[in-house]
Amino acid sequence: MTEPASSLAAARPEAGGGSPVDGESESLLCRWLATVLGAELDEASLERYRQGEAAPFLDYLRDAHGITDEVERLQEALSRLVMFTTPRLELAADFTELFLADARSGAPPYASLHAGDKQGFHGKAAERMEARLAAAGYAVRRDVAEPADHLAVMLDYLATRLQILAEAKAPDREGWRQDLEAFVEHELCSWLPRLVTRSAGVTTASDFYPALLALLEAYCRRLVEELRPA
Amino acid sequence: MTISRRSFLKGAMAGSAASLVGPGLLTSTAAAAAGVTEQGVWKTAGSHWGAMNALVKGGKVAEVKPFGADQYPTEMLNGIKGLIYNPSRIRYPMVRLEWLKNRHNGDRTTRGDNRFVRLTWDAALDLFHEELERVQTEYGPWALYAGATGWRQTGQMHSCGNHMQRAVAMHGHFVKKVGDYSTGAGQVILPYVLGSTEVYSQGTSWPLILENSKTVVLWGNDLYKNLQVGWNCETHESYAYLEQLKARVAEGSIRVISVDPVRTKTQKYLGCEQLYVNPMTDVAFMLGMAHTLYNEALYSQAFIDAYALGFDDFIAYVQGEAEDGVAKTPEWAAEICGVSAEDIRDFARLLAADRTQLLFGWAIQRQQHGEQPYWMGAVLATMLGQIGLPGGGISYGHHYSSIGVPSSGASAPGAFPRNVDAGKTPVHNNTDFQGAASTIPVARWIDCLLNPGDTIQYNGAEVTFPDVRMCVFSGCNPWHHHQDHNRMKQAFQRLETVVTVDYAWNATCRFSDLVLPACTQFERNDIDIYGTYSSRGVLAMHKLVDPLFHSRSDFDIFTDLCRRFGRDEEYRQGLDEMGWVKRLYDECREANKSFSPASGDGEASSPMPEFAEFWKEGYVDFGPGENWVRHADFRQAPEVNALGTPSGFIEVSSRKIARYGYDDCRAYPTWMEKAERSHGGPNSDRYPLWLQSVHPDKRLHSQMCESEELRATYAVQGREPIYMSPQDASERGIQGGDLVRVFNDRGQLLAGAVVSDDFPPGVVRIQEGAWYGPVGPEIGALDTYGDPNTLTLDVGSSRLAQAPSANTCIVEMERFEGEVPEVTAFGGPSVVEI
Amino acid sequence: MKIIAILWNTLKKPPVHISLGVIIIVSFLAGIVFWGGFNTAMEYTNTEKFCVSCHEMEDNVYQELQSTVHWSNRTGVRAICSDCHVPHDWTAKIARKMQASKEVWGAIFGTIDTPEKFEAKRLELAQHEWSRFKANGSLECRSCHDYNSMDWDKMSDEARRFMEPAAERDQSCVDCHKGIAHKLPDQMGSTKDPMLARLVREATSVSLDEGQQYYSAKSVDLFTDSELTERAGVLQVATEVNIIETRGDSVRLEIPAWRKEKGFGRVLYEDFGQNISSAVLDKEVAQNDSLIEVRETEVVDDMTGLPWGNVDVTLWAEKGAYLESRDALWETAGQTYRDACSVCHTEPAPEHFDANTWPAMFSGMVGFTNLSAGTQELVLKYLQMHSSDYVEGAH
Repeated sequence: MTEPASSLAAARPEAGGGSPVDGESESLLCRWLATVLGAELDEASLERYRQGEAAPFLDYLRDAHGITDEVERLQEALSRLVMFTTPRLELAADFTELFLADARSGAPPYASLHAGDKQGFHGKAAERMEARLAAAGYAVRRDVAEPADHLAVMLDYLATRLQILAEAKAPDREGWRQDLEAFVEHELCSWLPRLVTRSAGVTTASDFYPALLALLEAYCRRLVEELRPA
Repeated sequence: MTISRRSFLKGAMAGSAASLVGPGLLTSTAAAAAGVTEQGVWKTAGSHWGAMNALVKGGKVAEVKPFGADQYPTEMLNGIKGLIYNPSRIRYPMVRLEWLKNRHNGDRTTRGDNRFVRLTWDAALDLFHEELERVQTEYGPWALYAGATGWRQTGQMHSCGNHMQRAVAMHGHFVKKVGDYSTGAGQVILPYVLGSTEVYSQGTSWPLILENSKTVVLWGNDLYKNLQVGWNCETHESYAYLEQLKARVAEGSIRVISVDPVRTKTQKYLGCEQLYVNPMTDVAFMLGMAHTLYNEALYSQAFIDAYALGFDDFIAYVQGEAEDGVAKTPEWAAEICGVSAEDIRDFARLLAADRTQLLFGWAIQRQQHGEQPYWMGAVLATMLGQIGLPGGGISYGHHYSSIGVPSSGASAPGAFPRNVDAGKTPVHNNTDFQGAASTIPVARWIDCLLNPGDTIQYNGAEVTFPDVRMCVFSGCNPWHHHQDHNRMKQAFQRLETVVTVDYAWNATCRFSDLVLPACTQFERNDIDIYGTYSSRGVLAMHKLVDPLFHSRSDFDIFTDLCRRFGRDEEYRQGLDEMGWVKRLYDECREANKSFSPASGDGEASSPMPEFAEFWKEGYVDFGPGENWVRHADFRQAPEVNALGTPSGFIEVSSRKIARYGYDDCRAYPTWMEKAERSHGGPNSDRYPLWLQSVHPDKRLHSQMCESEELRATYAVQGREPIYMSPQDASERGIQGGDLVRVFNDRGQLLAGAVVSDDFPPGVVRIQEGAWYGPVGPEIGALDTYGDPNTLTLDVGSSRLAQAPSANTCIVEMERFEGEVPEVTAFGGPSVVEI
Repeated sequence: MKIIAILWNTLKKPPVHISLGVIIIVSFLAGIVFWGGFNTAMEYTNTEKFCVSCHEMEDNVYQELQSTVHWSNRTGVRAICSDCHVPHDWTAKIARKMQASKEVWGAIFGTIDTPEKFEAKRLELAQHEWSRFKANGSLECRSCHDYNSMDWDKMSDEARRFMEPAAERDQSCVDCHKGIAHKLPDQMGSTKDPMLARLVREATSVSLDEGQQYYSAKSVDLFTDSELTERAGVLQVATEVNIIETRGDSVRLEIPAWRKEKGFGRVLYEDFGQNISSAVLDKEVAQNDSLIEVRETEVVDDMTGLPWGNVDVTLWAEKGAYLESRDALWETAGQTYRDACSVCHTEPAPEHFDANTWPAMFSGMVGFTNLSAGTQELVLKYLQMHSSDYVEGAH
């Protein structure tokens, strides 16, 4: 995949200086990704996806970030859902296979399990994430009952950082940007490729979630690049 | 086309895409000060592997150290953290997709290899309740099997079998089991012979053995390996005595002989002698010994006259005067057991020469005709005439839960009730089993599933198999402990509904329809006795961390199930978790009111403080107990302290058993050929290797097999090891570290070769408890990790005990060639094409 | 002469139907009357202050009362001494018993002026009160607690299980509720098994009729003489006995039994060929023909080949240890069995094994329970008597 540099350049806000990233939009995008990776789709959401209501996110990923193949793959997966008599259940079963069942198989969405330290859940990555959340004045909702290194938690956290970046005044902005860049690069990009590989090894009924993971991985890679000083 | 990011944002928020964004998983808290490092708190916890102190930091278990009082901690404690944070944890309630769609009408052939979906607890418990309701109303109590229980996690309050059975029993009656997989044959035969199940009885105290025995015989008994774990919190007190025994062996004051085909861990530790016997031929060997003892007049006629009945009938069989007309001479025995006639004679003479303590393990009764070696052992001990003397006689339990460590005499805490409260009846109070048995011998339950309505003999009675449609398991993994998994697959396809409560994705979960996540014992508060037999103290089991993910305690799970039929208050008797823990402690304290430590100053005051103080301290010590001799009371006054046999005396022959008319368990112990046997036995030309599936060294049955850390210390290429002799390996071109395919007519598995001089030709070992992970749902599919029960024989020991015969198993093996399948044992449900 | 006879009788026989409170008050009044001043005394004797004015009362029973629910509870209703121990129609009795009771005072209270002496006498004192409650159906209790006013639905399940049948029989409260306001006598021990202890207490107030059948509520020492000095053995719990004779605090019992004709015949069994033990005799007693009537001999049990004999053994034992039926004992034993054994595993139904298999099953596992020796004995007997040998239709 080649990156259409022009579109990226064109997407940059006119107000120069500081980060080229539109924090507010990216934040919303991350919240969407956190939602769709955080839990199974219910009937209503699924219907919205099938009606194409996710288009703004996908368009944005394609147009602003130049992610074309992965977006197409996800759209293809969405359009193929018509083949199932009970698409919600099939997607829920895929979600389970990948994310919820025995974490030795599938593509468990926890950074600790991909860190290679064999510690299982609540490993070092989770501790770092907890420290980040605590420092930022956040905690994982009790009813969610997931460790802090769950992918969706990390994306929600990323969304809050992007929002802060969007609202930051010039003198603080560089500090936020550096922190964000480090976070995406070391805490996400470090293991997302492995997660994508693992998901590819699982036979799912629909390609929806594997495609989504691939899209997320591409996005994070792109985001790091964009967060780097020009 | 390009868009402005501003326009994207606006567009998205204005449009319906915004509704695809959820509320997020985070909540605001006060921002924590950076750089503050938490000290953590040390808490007390217990387990089958022993007690421990755990450092809890930031809501996580940071470090686990052996409990101070434990002088011989097992390395398995290193697996505790791996058990809590294991990737195999069941994190959410799950339902099998096919079952969710079509319930009991669905396709059952995909059971064990199917897609699951997540449920909320409410939805999952609704389904559980609906199924119980359906089975009780459409069928009846005969259709529900909730009898199987296993080695629950420790803790008297949360003991999971109690919770499951109480809750299910409050809803309706169900089929129960009798017996277990460890001592099935022993616990049925020994009451006829020695008047007690013996296998779970306290035994002669180790100090008396060390003091009085001149010879100690370890018969198929690897106690150094097996004493690492205990039924309650294990104290490892036995190891101090093994250390002394080792010293006695070294100085030559006690001769220890391990009668075993394999050089055991115990033998190597003690530096003791080994007497090799062909697998499964112990009875022939012992009959040869009996022949020697009798004909060389080395036996005690006086003891037999005073304490035993039926010796004449037995000795006629030994002398060749019975129906078979064969004298059980050492020469006759040598042919079968592989020990020379002279060695048999010498061994018999040695045992008769001085004080001899026989210590039997359980392995030799986990085989076809498993009743016989135990009965024959008792007969030998009777002939030696030392039963009831310190350091003499026979024990069937010194390898288990520190039997032989003197009991303090203090009372242990009770438990959460297993039964419905007195005077209460279930919602469906239907006790009509329609002529079928309400209790089945546990090891025959697969027969029951496959052949409903069939009638079998069991222990002098008839048992008609009920037509079971639904099973409930909690903390019980039959896909580890039952024999012949391919047969089990067929049986499970007959089941309409299987509900399993557990904390890790073992094979039983994968063969279930509804899987409910229990938390581990480290995620709830509890109380336990420290030392199952020694009653050394009472241990607080502090909750170390909150239940992980969406797991819940058994107490919470089943309280909520009972709420669905309006019996939750009754279920929990109005108490919460800590209320129960306190009640169990207070009742124990009351029961120990007049307890005084054996070695104390005789003060009769209770050593047990108020609950709050106990809970803070984490432990109350009762002190060591006093020495005791098994059967000494019987020896002293046989009439008054009669044994529990029909006559009250040792029954060398049993008229009662004779009356049953079983040809596989007769009036006295007899040698019978097995259905299959290595070393020249039936079918050994096709499958020349005896597969022994002993209790594992680094697991408790199947518990902790999931621990990566521990498994890394023994697995070979990620597979369960198969131990073999250098000769068997080289004959097959196998080298240590190779993957081997082990097979017989019942199944096939992959294992990793370990070649060792400890094993004689014709004997291979795969430890039981290895997790089952077949490549697919089809019958005969290759097991990718190496569960020996893929290969074992599923027949009853005899009509008497109907016990498992796991150690009657012969196999062949070959170096594995071709594409190596991934290990699926530790995976969750896998996927089929739709 | 007549007065002496009454006095003698009173001293010798405990005043079974006179309230302890009455005795104390009357004795006190006797003194007052002697000095003159009856009317003021009348009022005074009904107060708590009066009751605890002697140190025996204040140091012992009064202290104990204060730790019970009858002293302090959430509703603020308190029962004082006279509420329970003085019949509400007591004045009539005063006049009638005054003279006799004056002596009882001395007989009792001269002997309890130290805590040790009080403890030694506690059982006797308690038995007097229990007998009186037995006779009047616990009348004083019922002025506050009435069966008719009990709302079963508001009762705990366990309480209801015992209370409903008690109400049906209009049972005397103190039959079961002994030791609720004061400490129980040490002799009535078993704190390990309150249900069994309750039955043992109940037995203390069962009146024994000669020629009738009863069942031991606990294990009872047997003697060859009515003074209970020559020990003969032990009668085991839940054993059927015939009362031949009562004499003072002793009873002469006949134990119908079977025994093995091997060894000394020391163990008596409930039934032919069944190892359900009834009693264990000392060796000499077991062979003493004057105490043992042999009804049948040399009856061979085919299951073991052992010869058995049918005998009646007649010996002496204490009174107050027998119940009219075994039902309550079996109920207690059954509950104890289910509770204790289900701690670790599903307990087999009693009829799952026969009577001679149960001892083996039981002895193999009982070490895991906290059952006292006495309770073990009862539970085993329950299992044997409800085994397949005794239950219709069981295998």
